[in-house]
Parts: sequence; structure tokens; C-alpha cells
Amino acid sequence: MLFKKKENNLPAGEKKKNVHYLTGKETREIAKSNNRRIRELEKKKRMHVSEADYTTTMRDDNNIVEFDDLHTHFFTDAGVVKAVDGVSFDIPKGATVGVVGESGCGKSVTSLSLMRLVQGPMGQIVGGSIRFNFGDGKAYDIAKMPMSDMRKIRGEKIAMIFQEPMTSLNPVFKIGYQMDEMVLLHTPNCTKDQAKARSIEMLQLVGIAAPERVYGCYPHELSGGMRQRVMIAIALSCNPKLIVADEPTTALDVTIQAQILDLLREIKAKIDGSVMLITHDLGVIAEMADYVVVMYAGRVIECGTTEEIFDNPLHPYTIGLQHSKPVVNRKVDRLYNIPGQVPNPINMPDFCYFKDRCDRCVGKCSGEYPAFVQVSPTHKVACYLYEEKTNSEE
Amino acid sequence: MLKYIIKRILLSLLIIFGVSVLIYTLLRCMPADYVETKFTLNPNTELTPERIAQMKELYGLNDSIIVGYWKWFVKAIRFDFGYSFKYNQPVTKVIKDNMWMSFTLTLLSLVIYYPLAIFLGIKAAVKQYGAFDYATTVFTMLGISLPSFFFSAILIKVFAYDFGWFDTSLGMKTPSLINPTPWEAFWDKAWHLVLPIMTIVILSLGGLMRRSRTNMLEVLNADYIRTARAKGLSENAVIYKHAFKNTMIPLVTMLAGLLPGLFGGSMIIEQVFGLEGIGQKAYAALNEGDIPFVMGYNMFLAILTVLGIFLADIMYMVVDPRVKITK
Repeated sequence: MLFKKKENNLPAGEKKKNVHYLTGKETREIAKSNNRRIRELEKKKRMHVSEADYTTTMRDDNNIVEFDDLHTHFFTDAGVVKAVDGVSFDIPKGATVGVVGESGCGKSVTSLSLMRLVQGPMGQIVGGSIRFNFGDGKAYDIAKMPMSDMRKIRGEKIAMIFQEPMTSLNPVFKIGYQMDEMVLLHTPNCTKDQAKARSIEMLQLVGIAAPERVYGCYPHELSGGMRQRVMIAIALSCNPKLIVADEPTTALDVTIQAQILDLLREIKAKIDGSVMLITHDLGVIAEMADYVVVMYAGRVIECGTTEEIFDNPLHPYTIGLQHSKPVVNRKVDRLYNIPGQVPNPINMPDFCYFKDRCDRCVGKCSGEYPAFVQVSPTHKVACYLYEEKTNSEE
Repeated sequence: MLKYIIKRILLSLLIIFGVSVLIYTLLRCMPADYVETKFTLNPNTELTPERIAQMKELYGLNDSIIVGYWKWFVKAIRFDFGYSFKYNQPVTKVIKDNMWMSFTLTLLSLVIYYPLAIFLGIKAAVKQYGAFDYATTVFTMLGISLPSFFFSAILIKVFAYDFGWFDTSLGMKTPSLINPTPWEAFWDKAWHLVLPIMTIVILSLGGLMRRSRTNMLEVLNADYIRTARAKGLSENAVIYKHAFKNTMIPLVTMLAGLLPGLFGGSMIIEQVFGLEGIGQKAYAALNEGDIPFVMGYNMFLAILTVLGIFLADIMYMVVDPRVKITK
């Protein structure tokens, strides 16, 4: 009652001005609808779904993963956060796809959706599909798979390297145990000795000088670079088809960063897999990726081959990103930065999300969210600036 | 390591000294001393005031606090805690004779409630905000909030008087049991422990369960749990192997801290159920101002507490590979 009184005392105008202020009624409504949706989605996760229900066909058999209109939302107390809102892109076999964007653009959530590791019950995949090419003509829709079946894919087919090597290893188990566990889990009829041999082989492969000694260490006895190498060794020990590297070098210093990237590239060639590389470092992308996907506020705004994105960036956001990268041999007073910040993705209006920060706005930008414009067979961009050009060319 | 242990022991001695000063002062500040409660306040007393003054002198109650403490201290450092006023026996003997009853009671309840609380806490954390979580929360909050004397009284009323499953007389023996075989006597004793253990278990469960739930929730949000899931481990392996060992770190160390409670007995529960444990003895001694016994008992608890803390530190080193004691 006390709270209600306070609300009523507020002048009518103030209520509208303060967007972050939620009335008790609004809060209750949000909680109610959140609960309902979450219960529904959680039920679906546990339900037994037969294999036929999540088997699909790939659009292109040369792709290993196809994201198709993926929606991953977080049901928070302040409202539904659309962290990933209609993301579509492909990861071809044997290619490295870089996903770039500022912090909070939904890059990590996209990758976690692929692993079905979005933290429930708040975070849920609410729509779209993630088709994964299982090989031998089979393809599964990961977004529809029940959690129990996801274990067939996690670790064995898709392995993930996380951005925080310092906290991603379990502090109370020895490195050896954590490595063997992965091998034992995914190799049928594997003995402990075989697993140990494999683990030591992997440690050697990632360039650890004394693999036997590291095998018996606890994580806290290793440096950050060493731990990230161990993480990579764990991820690769079962020869996955796809490696998801979520900012693998963010927490490391630059020399170690270069070594880790070299390592990743070498190993990718060795196991003939694909890599989904998430980073906000354009230098890393330029060096590693074959294709680039630029994300902004939960949506893909531009994607193409690395050459296209770097030589001919189209979306004002991509151009801004390019500008804000330090370049050797060029003297500038101040490093460029894109003004403003990523909008809070709650109750987003239906116009280009970048509109408020864009310096090349046109009248149309206040209209609905721009559709993709195909600039070349591989290059597309979601911006009104290029719509007319292509239309007139046709 | 040796240096660390020596440092710890010296520090512990200081703590124990402080505790003894504090408790002695408080005891002497109590409104009525042993002689007064026994003779002066007793309407049937036939002692003359001169005789009472003589008694006070005899019991050492006329000394000032400092002199009294010094007299106690000089003896105590030679592990001579004197004679109990009330029990007319050396304090150490009274403690030794009654300790094991309390120990059995507390140990048995500990063995029941510790694993149970951890298990319930983990279950509640895994199903956070689910029906099970809310149900255990309500139940355990009930347990935390109930005072022990009240809850044991309810248990006695319901199970002993109304249902008649338990003996309603105080103590550890059913009066109607005459010439029992050793086996029967044992069972009779065990049966008498059921209600006190039940009380302790239900009252202690809540706090520990909440703690284990909070710990587990924190661990479940850790990055390494996500890594374990990303490896393709089953949810059970993630929770009962990877998360469990991390959750156990603070809980296992807490176990060492329970040492004083294990031997010290539970005053109120022993009193309500009429169990001849050390807690009951201490309660009675405290009521009558039996200074040597209360001092001895509290020193016993203080030493156990200090030892428990020390053990907890050692336990940390055992269960958490990251902890190393250097200084």
C-alpha cells in the first residue's frame, strides 16, 4: 500500500519522462508474462522429442551451420531483452567466420545459442532455427533439440573456447582429469591410459613445453596463456567439426594473443574444421576470417567476405568500426569513436537501431527496420542508403 | 608450516586467556553467588549470618574479582580447575563423565542433518524458484524460527503424550522396564534419543540448507560449469561432480567448526528432555553460581572452539588445492 501511494503522488508528466521507472502494475505484468513464457519454453526443453522432429535439411550442403532467423530473448524483470533478434548467417565447411560488434551486440549469445548454453530459465531461444550439418546427409535443428540430445553434439561435434581462461577451468580438478574427462566421454571403448596419452598429445599440440607436468597441475598453477592453451586442447581433443571461439584472446596480452591465433589457425587446418570466431578486434578478424558478420543490437547488419567488408564497408556502423581501429604509420590526434552506445534492447522501436548514432541518416531511416540489400553474391547490408542504388541498377 | 602452527597456538592462548577473564568477571557480577542461592535465599536455612559469612570466605567469594581470578588462574594453568561447588567432584571429572552422552546426541544428529541439508540445498538450487525450492524454503524457515524449548515441547506433547510412542518420564530409562537384557537396555536408550535428535535435526537443518543452496547457486553460475556443459557432460555429472566439489569447500570447513558444539552439548534440549549430558550439568551449575564448574566448562568450550577454527583452516588446505598456508 505504501508503494502505491507514492506512485499516485507522482505528477502525471514525470511518469512519462522517466523511461526507466516502472510502476508496480507494469512490473507485475512483466513478471506474469515472463513466468508464463518461461514455463512454456522450459517444458519444451525437457520434453522428449523424437529424432525425426528435429531432423531437417540444410539449405546448402556445403554449410556446416546455418543460423536462420534466430531469436534468443532474456526475460528480465525490466522487460524482454531481445539479445538476438532475427540473426541469419551461414558457416561454410572449412571456413572461418568472424563475428564482430561492440559489447552487448549479441555475439556471445548467438554462439551460446548454438551450444544451447544460454543461461536458463531467464534466457531462452524463442524462435528460428540453427541447422547443423551432421555429415552423411543428416542435419539437425539445434534450436528444437531437447537438452538430453544436445550432449551428442556438445564437445564432440561443436567445441567451444570461452573468453575467460582464468575462470573457465574447474579450480578443484587437475588439468589431466578435466582433459581425460572429455576424451573418455566422446570416445567409445576408451581406456584411461588411452585418454591420458591423447590428452598429453593434445597438450603437446597446443605448444605446451612440459605436457606431463602440466597434466598433473591444478589450473591456478598455470598462467592465463597456458590455461587458454589447455582450453583449446580440451576443445580440440575430440576432433570437432566446428570450433566456436568466443573472444579467445580478449583476456590475454598481445604476444600471447598472436600465438594463440596462430595455434588456432594451424589446428583448424589440421583437423579440417570450421571456426566461428567471435571478437571485437578487427585486426584479429582481418588475419583469421574468411567471412565476416557484423552484428549490432542483436541483429546482423552487414555480412560478406573479409575482403568485401574491409575494402568496401557499406553500413555506417561498419565504416565507423573501421575508423575506430588504430592504424600503424598514421598520425591522428584522437582515435575516432562512434558516438553514443549500443541501445538497451528492451522495447526497441521498429526502425534502424543504429539511427540515433548514424551520421548519414536519410528520411527513410525513421521508417521500419531496413531489409537486407544484396550488394554482391556474398555481400549484403541492412541499410537504406544502398537500397536505391541497387534498385536503379536493376 | 611449523611457524604457522606455533603462531596459531600462541594466538589461541591469548584468546583463551581473554575468554577466561571475561567469563570470570561476568560470573562474579551475577546477582546471587553460590552461598547466597544455597543458604541465604533458602527460607529453611538454619545458618546464622556469621556462619554464612564464614561459608563465603571458604568458597572464596569474598575475594575481589582480580584476586579471585588470579587464584583461579594460577591453578588453571596447571590444568587444575578445582572442585565443583555443586557436584562436589573435580570439574574435569564432571566434564569427562557427562561429555559422552552429549557427544552421542550431537554426533548422531549431525550425521543425519549434515548430508540431508546439503542434499536438499543442492536440489533446491538446481530447481531454483521451482516448487521444491519454495517448499524446502518454507519448511526450513519454520525450523530456523522455532525456539528449541518450544519445539521440543510440541514434539513431546504430540509423540509422547498423544500418540504414546515414547516414554514420558525424564531421563534415558523407561521406569517400567525391570531387569532388561543388555540388548533391550540398549534399544530403550536409543529410543529415548529419537525425539531429542529429531529436534536438533529439524532446527539445524534450515541454516545449513540455505547455506548449501546459496553456495550451489553461486557455483552453478561459474564459468567452469558452463565449460563442463560445453564438454557434453550430462547434467548429473555437471552438478554432482563439477559443481559438488566446489560447493563442498565451505561446507566441509564448517564441519570442523562444529567441534565445540559436538562436545559442549545442547543446554536447552538436554534440559527439556532430562538427558544427563554436560549441557544440562552446565545449565544447573550456572543457575546456582557454581563458579569453578562454569569456568571449567567454558574453558573446555573455548579450547574446542580454538581447535575447531584451526582444524577448519587445515580442512581448507585439504579440500581446496588453491589454498596454501605459507606463514
